[in-house]
Amino acid sequence: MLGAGTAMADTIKLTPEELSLETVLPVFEYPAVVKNRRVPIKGRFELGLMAGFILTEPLYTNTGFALSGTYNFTEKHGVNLFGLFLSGGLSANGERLRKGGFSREFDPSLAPFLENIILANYVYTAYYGKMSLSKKLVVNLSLSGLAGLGMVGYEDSQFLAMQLGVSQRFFFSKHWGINFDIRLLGHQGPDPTSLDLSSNGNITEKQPSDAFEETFFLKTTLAAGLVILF
Amino acid sequence: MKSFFQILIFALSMSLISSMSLAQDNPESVYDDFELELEPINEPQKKSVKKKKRVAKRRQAKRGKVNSLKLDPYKDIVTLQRKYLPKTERFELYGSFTYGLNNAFYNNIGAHISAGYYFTEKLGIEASYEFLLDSEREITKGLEKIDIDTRSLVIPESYYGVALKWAPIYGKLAWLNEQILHFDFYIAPSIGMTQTAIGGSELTYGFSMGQNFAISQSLAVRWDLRVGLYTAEVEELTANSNTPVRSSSPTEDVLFSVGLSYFLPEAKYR
Repeated sequence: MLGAGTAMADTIKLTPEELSLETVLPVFEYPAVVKNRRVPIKGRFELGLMAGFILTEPLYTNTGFALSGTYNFTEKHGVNLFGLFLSGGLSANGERLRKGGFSREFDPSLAPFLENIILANYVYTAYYGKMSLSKKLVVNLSLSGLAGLGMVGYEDSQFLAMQLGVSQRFFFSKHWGINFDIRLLGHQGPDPTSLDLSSNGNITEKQPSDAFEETFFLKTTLAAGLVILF
Repeated sequence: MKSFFQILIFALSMSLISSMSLAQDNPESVYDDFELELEPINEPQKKSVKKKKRVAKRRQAKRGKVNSLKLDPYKDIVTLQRKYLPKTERFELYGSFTYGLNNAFYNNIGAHISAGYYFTEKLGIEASYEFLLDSEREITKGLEKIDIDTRSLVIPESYYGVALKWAPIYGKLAWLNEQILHFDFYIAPSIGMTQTAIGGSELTYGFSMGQNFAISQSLAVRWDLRVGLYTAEVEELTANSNTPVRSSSPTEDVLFSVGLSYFLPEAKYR
């Protein structure tokens, strides 16, 4: 009787093709590789105090003070208001031109200066990470893309501007860090070379913006400084 | 009398034979005796050496120092095991697009290629070549329209040089909170030559920084920012003279490149 059970047993043989050849991991619909952030930014406000440079400004001062304020709706999305305030005056090339160093005199100071750049941006924070600077110092970092619209202000006029940029922030604690922005800025503005600003052209006084032809400028800006989180 | 001497000789010979046989059984016994004889002379020295060692050990323990000789097998400690993209004893081939960030009068767009070798995870060397295509910006066209000579503006055309790369920082980033990307950050002082549009070849001191974001164990996306400093020879006309005059112009090029790095051969893990 007992033997009958074993007599009914059968050996099942599977071919190698029917066997599983690889292991699989479950695919989650909403994966989260970082569960706990050391520096969360959701619902927080960031204030940036920075030095700003217009790297491709040919004739006028290219340094100034930059302020930025960012509100982060989530860890990924935020809005930013950025302002770069320039000190005015001529650059080294502008001074050289004014003194006749480029084959003849030309005085760019007779055209309006760019005084400020103010833009509102959408911020998308794609990357959040950490790096170890030493055994005891861990720095968190985030990398964001920016796109925005705004205005540039000359001494007597404003023009439309747009920008694309990248911002990298290094956080030393939950409340502060340092920030580096590189932005490509495009804007309309008066072209100082559209008038002969010299005694040859009979122009010796400062001219208003509407006396010049408008042209499109493409400039690279860099801002670096402190960021404080509230 | 005769028998006494016979017995004495017999006893002596027997003792001699027995000692010899003992020596044969234990050849070391001869040496033991020798050592026993010397012991009273050596013992004080050995004790003093042992005492010195004990004192030294206690002093070291107090200082909290560890005798590194005892840790020889553990000298090679790796704090980060099995890096995703190890670089030790591997070559890196890098190709990228380059854009000049700080030339106010010309657009500089070009390509950059380099080949490097890493001796360790942190240290390597790299040879680079870069060529740039220049086009005038609107401001330059405007100056030429009003007969202002722009020959004195420096136009870089190509660069070649070598750099020493130091990558002290390694980290991880979460991409959209869905995937982990590994990266390292390097700085690289360099020396090379920049060729300018008027045919000059200028000694250039440079400094670069950049990041490698690992895509696989052999491929990475890399960005690089290089600042090159040199004194370029230029020709310029002034308002007072129609003859071009040669002069020197200190110049700084800031070039940003983004591209791909390929590492070979296959990685070796520690």
